[in-house]
Amino acid sequence: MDSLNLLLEPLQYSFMQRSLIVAIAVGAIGAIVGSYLIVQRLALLGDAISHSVLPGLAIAFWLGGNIFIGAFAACVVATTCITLIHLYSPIKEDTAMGIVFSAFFALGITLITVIQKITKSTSITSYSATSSASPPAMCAIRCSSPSW
Amino acid sequence: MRDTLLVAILVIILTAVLYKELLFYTFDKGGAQAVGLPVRWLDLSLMVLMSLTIVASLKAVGVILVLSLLITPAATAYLLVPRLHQMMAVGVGLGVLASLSGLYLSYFYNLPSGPAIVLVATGFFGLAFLFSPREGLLTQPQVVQFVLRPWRSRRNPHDPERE
Repeated sequence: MDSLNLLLEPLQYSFMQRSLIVAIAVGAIGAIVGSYLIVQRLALLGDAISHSVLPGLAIAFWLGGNIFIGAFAACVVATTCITLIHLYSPIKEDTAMGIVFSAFFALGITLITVIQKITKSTSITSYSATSSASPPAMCAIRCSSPSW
Repeated sequence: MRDTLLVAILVIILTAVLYKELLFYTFDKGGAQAVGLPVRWLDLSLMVLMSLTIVASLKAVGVILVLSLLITPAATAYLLVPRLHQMMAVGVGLGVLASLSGLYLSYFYNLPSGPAIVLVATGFFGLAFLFSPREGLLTQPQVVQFVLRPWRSRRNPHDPERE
């Protein structure tokens, strides 16, 4: 009974309820898509894609749009670039991934710096802090964001 | 949170609809092309699925650690079960378990939640790596013998197993 109470205690906070729901959803879909990636030997494509999200976030923040849509658009553009390089040149997929993801990450950092200069009043300390995440999730992003 | 749930439901529906085609395409690209499946579109749909997953989990664990939620539970399941649909089911279970226990750890011990989730998932992978009934390092007697053989022969130079 005591341990049950220990497990139920965080549930009284709404931020904890929200993060638990998100954690369940994310844990589930991650494994589903990850299975395909592993058997296709594309495991590090996920890393490349998640880095190339950055310019999408910056542009979405600049235009005041939904961060999710910006991130998704950047992902699709990055994968299209990787596939194009892979299909229409003798360069292999891993090299294409390396080129595209570092280029996108650099573009994202540049955009953030430029946007920060333009909108001095609303300074963004970190690109991930621009999202409207719940406090604990936000803390997680801050702690895990790359230290460029 | 609403966006994340929406994306999650979309990913699950897309995977359920495209499961058979993606399975064929994943294991036999040439065969899928020969049968007449739209290989380019399947490739694109897999990329879209992955992008959606990354976007959904971005807020929960951050940019770098997204990779762990994508790969680690699925890789752990890969060590435990042989088939893709079983791998997905076990992977989902492990992923949910890891993220829940990671969140509880971060709540009770005041840890950052993303890294806590990732460390729990990695702990599961380590357990599977050592003790998996099929592929475990310590559960397969021939592997243990293979590892121990140099020790034995070094200790005893007249060991018949030395050659």
